[in-house]
Amino acid sequence: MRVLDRSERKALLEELEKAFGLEELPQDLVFFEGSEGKVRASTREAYEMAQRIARVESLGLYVLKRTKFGTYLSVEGSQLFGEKLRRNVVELTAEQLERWASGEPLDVSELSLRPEGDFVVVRYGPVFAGSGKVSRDGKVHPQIPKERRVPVE
Amino acid sequence: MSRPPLSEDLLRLLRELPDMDEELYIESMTRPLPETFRVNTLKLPEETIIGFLAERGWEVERLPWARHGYRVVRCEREDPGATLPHLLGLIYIQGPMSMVPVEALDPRPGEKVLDLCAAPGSKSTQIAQLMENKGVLVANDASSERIKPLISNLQRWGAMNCVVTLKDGRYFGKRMRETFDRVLCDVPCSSLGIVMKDWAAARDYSSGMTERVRALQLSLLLSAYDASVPGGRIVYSTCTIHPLENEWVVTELLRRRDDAMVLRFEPEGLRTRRPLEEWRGMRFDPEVTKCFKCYPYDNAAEGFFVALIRKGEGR
Repeated sequence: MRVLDRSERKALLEELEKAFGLEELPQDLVFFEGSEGKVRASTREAYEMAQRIARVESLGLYVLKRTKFGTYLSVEGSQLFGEKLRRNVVELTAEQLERWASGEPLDVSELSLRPEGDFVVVRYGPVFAGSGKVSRDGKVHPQIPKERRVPVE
Repeated sequence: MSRPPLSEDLLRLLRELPDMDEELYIESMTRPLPETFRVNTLKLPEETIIGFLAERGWEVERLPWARHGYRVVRCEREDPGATLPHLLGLIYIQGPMSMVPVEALDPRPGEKVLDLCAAPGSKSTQIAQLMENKGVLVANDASSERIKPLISNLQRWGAMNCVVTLKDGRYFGKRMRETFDRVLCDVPCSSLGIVMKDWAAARDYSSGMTERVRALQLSLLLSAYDASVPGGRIVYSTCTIHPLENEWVVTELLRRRDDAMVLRFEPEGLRTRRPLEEWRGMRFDPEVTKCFKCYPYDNAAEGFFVALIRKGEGR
């Protein structure tokens, strides 16, 4: 786990600005990058405590992932930045949210806006529900871990 | 529903407890726990989440003894744990009495807090919530199998201030003495207060189990105490009814740490009992009567024991 220094934080912000219109990262949080391009965030106090303990299993929150296609936000990442996201944020209907939460891809043509990049964040009113990948087949695929999908009744 | 199977040792224990109603205890085992949950104010305002639930067909009632705690009256589907609000981390399904120890601990934003036996994370998420994601919470468990659900529950909850460790709880009293402002010591126990969740606890119970586990419970409580800063608060809790896992453990702490004090804590809206002063010829420390316990039939919920302890300032 490597803490992002000033220039790396700046680069991360630039990625998030480009993808989702985010203008700043919270100053009170420490960001660090782990395996598979996953970036986590924690409070400074939690980070300092982790330095004191011989071995830790996990620190802070997984907020985003860097991939070869671009950067996307985890469910918690989308909720953390929430209203500060200004670009590629899609408002879902109640019915679309249900399908999304079960892991079903949505058609770009049925969305309230046309995505400008490879990833979008979705919301239903104040509830942010993670990111989706826009594929060439014109669908948006939810990036929600299988264990967090709502089982179909 | 048929009468659940009880081991001979459990039947003997029930008859030896002077304030126990054996028939009511057995009947309570056959009743499912009420569905209860907390709303996640780390993610959205409480009223926003309650509105979202109402829109989805939920009907809920507030729990008087836990901030942000509710009882499910009606739910969008049979299992509240398989709903969208749960999977998005807007709510956490948690037993009604299980919310009480953290209310007694009363963690504050910016503090250093230790949850010594944290998995699967119900109480850790509650602590992170009351800390408003500020300061630091060390969520520890000794079981490598239970660490994964602990980490995923903290993630789903959006807990930003957590360090998760996999250690024997006794590590903290030795290696991190006088570090934490508050320590939750919710120990492994014989689980005789939650047999409605799993009848095996009643069927397989043996007095030897209590003999084995109480030594561990005491060593964990001593570790929690030693890891606390002077003046810090420690909550010791179990979900069992056995005096040797409750009153005896607190008595032993008071005997071995002479600056320890027991504080009174009264959860609002719950029927509670005073612990025993003596049992099987043993006299417990009179301070122990400041703790409280509930039997499963007292509140149609889990049986619990909670001790709120303060560490002395000057040593």
